[in-house]
Order: sequence, then structure tokens, then C-alpha cells
Amino acid sequence: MLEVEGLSKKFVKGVLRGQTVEAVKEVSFSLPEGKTLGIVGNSGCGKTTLARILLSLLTPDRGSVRIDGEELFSKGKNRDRARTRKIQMIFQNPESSLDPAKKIGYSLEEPMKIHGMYDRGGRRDRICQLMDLVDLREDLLDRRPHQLSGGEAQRVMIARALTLKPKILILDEPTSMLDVSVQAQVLNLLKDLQENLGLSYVFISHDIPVVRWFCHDIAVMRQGRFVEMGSYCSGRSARLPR
Amino acid sequence: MSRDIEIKELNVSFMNYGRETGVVTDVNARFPEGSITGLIGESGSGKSVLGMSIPRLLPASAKIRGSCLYDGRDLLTLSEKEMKEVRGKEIALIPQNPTESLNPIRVVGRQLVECVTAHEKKGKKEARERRDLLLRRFGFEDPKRINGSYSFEMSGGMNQRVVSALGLMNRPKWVIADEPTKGLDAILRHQVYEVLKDIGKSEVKGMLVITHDIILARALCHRLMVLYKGCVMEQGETKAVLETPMHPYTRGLIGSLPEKGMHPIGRADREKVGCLSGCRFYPRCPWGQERCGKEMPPEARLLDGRTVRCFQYA
Amino acid sequence: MKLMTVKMKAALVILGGILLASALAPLIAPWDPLASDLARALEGPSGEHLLGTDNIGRDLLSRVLYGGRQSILLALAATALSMALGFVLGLFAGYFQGGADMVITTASNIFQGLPGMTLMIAVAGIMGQGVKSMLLAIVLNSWAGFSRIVRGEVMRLKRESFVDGLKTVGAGNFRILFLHIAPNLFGTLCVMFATRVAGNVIAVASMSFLGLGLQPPAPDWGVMINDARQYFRQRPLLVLAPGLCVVLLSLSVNLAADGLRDWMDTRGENADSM
Repeated sequence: MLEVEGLSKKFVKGVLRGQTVEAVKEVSFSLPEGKTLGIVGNSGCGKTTLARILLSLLTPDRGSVRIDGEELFSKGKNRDRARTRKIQMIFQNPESSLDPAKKIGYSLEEPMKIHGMYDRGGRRDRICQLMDLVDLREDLLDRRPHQLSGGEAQRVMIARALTLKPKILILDEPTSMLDVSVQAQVLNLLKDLQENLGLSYVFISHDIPVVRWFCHDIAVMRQGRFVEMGSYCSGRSARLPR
Repeated sequence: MSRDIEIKELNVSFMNYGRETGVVTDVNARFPEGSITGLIGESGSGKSVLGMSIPRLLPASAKIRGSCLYDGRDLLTLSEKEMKEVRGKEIALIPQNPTESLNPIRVVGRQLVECVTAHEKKGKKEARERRDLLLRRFGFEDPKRINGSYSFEMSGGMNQRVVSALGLMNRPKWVIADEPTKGLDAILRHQVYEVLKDIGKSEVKGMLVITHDIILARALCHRLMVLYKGCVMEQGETKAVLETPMHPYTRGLIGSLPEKGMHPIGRADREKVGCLSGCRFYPRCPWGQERCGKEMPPEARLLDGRTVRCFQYA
Repeated sequence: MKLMTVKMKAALVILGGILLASALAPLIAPWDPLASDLARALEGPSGEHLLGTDNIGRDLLSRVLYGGRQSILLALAATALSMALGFVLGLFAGYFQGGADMVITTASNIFQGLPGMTLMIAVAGIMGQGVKSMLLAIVLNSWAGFSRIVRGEVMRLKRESFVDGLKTVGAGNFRILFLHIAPNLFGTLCVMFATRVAGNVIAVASMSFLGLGLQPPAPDWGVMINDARQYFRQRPLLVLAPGLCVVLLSLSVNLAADGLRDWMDTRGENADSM
């Protein structure tokens, strides 16, 4: 359960002019387990800033973010590893979201190393299990990112986010750089994962038909605010067996 | 003279470290005057290469065979000097990667005028008027501000629209737009769509739109050409192709649209991937037969005028 | 596509020849480079002394063969040291930005603005002559170039989304900087190193020529040219032979560096297009 209350963030633009831009204004929502919230809006409406705050890459000026009742931005500690682990992100551009100099296997193992999860063999097993989960062959582990197609790279990113067993994934236009048929594969995979693992998604997009198909609730964001919010249950039932 | 563009037996390959890789294979098509044709397909389908081969804008490592008839001439046999006259004035390309297509150290307004005055010395004032008109049509309410800006000061969407205006400055007869809506959000995409549609009606004789955005293609194009790995799998009237797709690849592509329930195309069967001589779609094809892996299916012409490259219809 | 141009091949052959000759000097030199024989001073080329002898009767060929050993090693060492310094400072400046960046960037601007040779002479003047002060002078002169380029590359890489990705999986700044950003700079560093070595070969020779680096009687190209100046009219070979060696060495290193850069560029393009 993700609860966001009164989240605000200002940026100062132009050192001399002292202009401030309110990128996120008083945003509140709650996202139950296993559900998807779609956030739609124009470029520059504050979607990305909101995502960066949820990932604690940015600290908000005001407001709170709670995951299962635990406050993300409590005073004192800035970024607590154990807590930020629960919320992970899939980026828009799969090609640049992986370190180009590292093999895929390394990139997948690294998060577990950082958090001291499992021993060497255990991590290896978990990687193989995740590769299977996202439907990738294990021989990709020895490749480098530029040898992967966009769809494969995005599956690797999903696997990497899952290494840390998160509760919430933030999907920042995860398929806008992919072809329609690959988009369908990746989004279907994400839906299956949600059903099997009980993940919650925050899905940022400007593609309304995709949002309608993928999300339970939709929020429309404009100039930093949620201007409209509603549920879209019909999309769910429209799913047919493959 | 006919202002149709007609492509016959076009093959494009690239030399890479001494190895020849085919990118476009045996394309036959006629783009009639007064129509907008969409080239749709996934990345790597060769749609951009096919589009770029018409104004001969491919790098030197590309080998082009076949013919491309326009205005009674074969564009592929013209000299570079004759081709320069064709490019821009007869056939203009609106390129992908708009930011890279603009000179970063020169303000946009000057670049737009220059592409007219570079061809002929007259009409600077006229060019300026046309520039402001085009920019306004592309959704810039204040062309003065845009004219004084550099490409890096603008967003990708703005650059895309500037580059589109650039392509139209010389009043070309044909426009080839390569991914005109890439990286744009819904509102800007709609704007570009409106402009292209408007231009297709009033300004130019014909248009080729290279895109992977099927929604755009459906709204904008009269005819569609579906490419997969360098082969034209199906071509015909937009409505027919999208509503009753014939080729298994087209069916898969349309099935993976969100409003059709996003059913992905099956992944390649690894045992079938090695077959190079057969149908390109064979490794992923749900209808695949033994024959498909061995020989390339011919283009079958159906009653409604469309062609489908599949043994099911041959 | 051609993998290697004629220019590149020629450069590699010359470079290889010079390096091999220098490395094998003790084996192939016909005479001891330091042994003088005043009775046979300033002789022309002969069967015994293939290139003749210098003003105190030392064999020129042997001295030319030995002459590159120290200056090449010194140029390599000086470049490696300045690269290490510039790399570390550039990494921190580019990644953390803020105050540290301002100090480092200002310093590198100042050092790049100073005329190189004057700076090196000034350092040698303060520190005294000798190998150590020469090394210090060259490092001071060339670290700024490295740090500026590294800083720029780090700032570019920092904006890539993989850095944000690493932060969200909990990677700390030092892990990101040293395990992820630094390895991505490897190619750039190789090219910069090769380019800079060529300049530093000349710098070492110039310093020795001015009497600020290696000292006579050491067999070194710079020292030899300086020693032979007054005999240039009599025996031009005494200046030309070591001079040509310096020119060939720095030219071939430069060309090789160019080739390396082109190769890295095309490799990058292919990687993108696949």
C-alpha cells in the first residue's frame, strides 16, 4: 500500500531571476496492493519529478510518502536502503538504463550484492529464476546492453527491478520507445507479474489507449497538479486469454 | 508525365566488413499521385531505408538495385547533379532525429530561409513569409520567437515541427516523412497529424509516411505498406488492411494494439530462425508450413487490389 | 570498410621499429654509448662508426640507439602520472560538481592558459634541474587537459538513465563513480593517453635540450642535439640523427593515436546500429 499526501516540490530556475517553478503541487493519492495507477499528462507536467520523488532521488519540499505505513522521508535519514528497496523503477529508454560497459549478468547481480542478499550461488539461482520469469534465455547474461534489442533490454530492466523483491514499480513510459508488438509483449508480462507477485504499479504515460488497457485508476496531471482522478475498471475485464 | 513514384524490384543492401547484408528485398510498389502512403513496420523492418533510397540519401556503403521511376526518369540512374535538383524541390525528406538535422550554431529562422535561397538567389522576402506561415501552421503561435531560437533551446517536439516546416519550404511535389511523430506526446502528435493531413491535401502531390505508429497511419494514410525484415508483406487500402488484415504478420501487428487487447505476436521459434531462403516471418508465423521455410512466397494480388506475400493466398 | 589505413600501418611500423631498437639497444649497439676516444672525435661515417662520432669521439649510432630509452620511459611515466591526476580530479569535479568542481575547473583553466614551455622552465627553475623536477613540470603542464575531458564525459554519463537506475537499486556514489562511470571512460582515456604521449616525447626532448632534464653525458636525443649544436656545420648528422628520431617518434605516436580514435569511433557506431 502506497500512500502519498500533499506532495510538493519547487525548483528554482535561473540563479539571478530567482524564478521558482512548482513542478509538483499538493499531490495526494493512495495505491492499494496489486493495483495500477496511471498518470497521464503532457510533457513537462511534472510526471517525471513525481516519479523521482517516489524513488527518493529527490526530496520533496512538503508532504509525505508512506509505504505500508512507513514514512519514506522521515527526518534525519535521507535515503534508507532497506526502505527505498521496496519501490523500484523501469525507465523509458531501455538502451540507456543499463551500464554499457557491464555484462547483463553483472547488472542483474549488483542490486543483490549491494543489499547483501544471498551468497554467490544463491544470487546466481535467483538470476536464473528471474530470467525465466521475464521469459529471457540465460545466454543473454554474458552479453552487453548494446547487443540486446529494445524489448530484451526492457525485460532485463524488469528482472533487475525484481531482484530486490519490491512492492511497487514505477513505470515511466516503459514502452514508448518500443514497437507495438513488443509493447504488447512487455505490458502483458507486467500484467502477469502483477497477478503472480501482487505488485502495485504507478504507470506514467501519455498514450491514452495503453493506459486505458493497463490501469485500474487514472490520474490526469497538469502543471504539477492532479486535475482529475477516476477508475477505469472496464479495461481490466476486456482482457482475453492469449 | 506521370508524377507517380513507381518502384520496381528494389533491393538495398549494406556492405559491412566485407559482408553484404540485405536490408530491403524485392520491393514493387506504386505510389500514385494524390495519395498518402504509410510504410509501417517495426524497427529493423527496413522502412526507413526504403524511404531514404528514393531520394538516394543512403550512406555510400549502401548498394541499391532495381529502379525507381518518377516523372519519366529513373531516379536511381540520375547523376548526382541532376539528383540535387530533384531533392528538396521535387521530393523532400523530413528526417528522423530532428535535433541532429538542424545546425546547432545557427538560429532556426535563418536555416529555414537559407534552404530556399540556396537553390535560387531571389525571393528572400517571399521565403520569410512562407516560413512564418508554415511555422504558424505547425502550431507555433509566435514565429518570431522560434526564428530567433537555436535548435538546442527547443524540445524534441518543437524541433520535429521545425524540421517538418524545413522540408516544405521549397514547395516539393512529394514529401517523405520519416517517423514524424516520434517522441511527441498526444497533443503534439495530433498537431503534426493535422498539419500533415492538411499539407497532403493542399500542398503536395503525394506523401510517404514512414511510421510505427499505426494509429497515425490509420488516420492519415490512404494506402499502407506493411514491411517485415525488408519484405513488403502486405499492401493495399488502409481500411482494408487494418480491418481485415490478411498476412499473419499484419494480423499479429494489429492484434497487439491496445484497443484490440494487446495480444503479442509469438516469439521466434529458435529451430526455424536459420532458414534464410524462405519467408522472413516464418520463424514467428502461426501458419508456418514446411514450404514457407524453403522458398520465398510470391506477392499474391487479391480481388480488392491488395497484394499479400503469403502462400495462403498464392 | 578498410580496417587499417596505409597511414596507420606506416605509423605502427615506424613506432614498432623505434621501440624495438630502443629496447634492444644493449644488444645491437656496436659501441658503448659513453666510451669516448678523443683521438677519433668528429669523424664522418665509416665502416667502424656507421654514423660517425661526436665531439669527444663517442659512436653516434650507439648513442642514437640508446638515446630513446630514457626519454620514452620518461614521457610514458609523465603521461601516466598526469592522466592519473587529471582522471581522479575530473571524476570528482564532474560527478559531485558544486564547490570542488569550481576549484578544480578554475585550476585546470589556469594551467591550460599558461604557456607550457614557460611553465616547465619555471618549475625547473624553482625545483632545480633533474629528472624529478622535469616529471613534475610535465605533469603540471598536462593534467588539466585530462581532467577537463574526463569531467565533461562524467557529466554526460551522469545524465544517462542507468545512473538513476543504480541509485534506485541503492548503489552509493562511490560505487557508481568507480565501478560504473570510470570503466566507461576507458576508451576515451586510451586515446587521450596516446595523443598526450606524443606531445610529452617532445617536451622531454625539449627540456633535455635546454639542459633542464636529463644531463650530459647521458645518451639522450635532446641532450645530444644540444651538445652537437656548435658542430652542426661540420657534422650535420650529429644533430639530424637524434632530431629525426624525435620527429619520427612523436609523429608516429600521433598518427597511431588518430587511428586508435577512428577505430574506437567506428566501433561505437556499429554498436549503436546493431
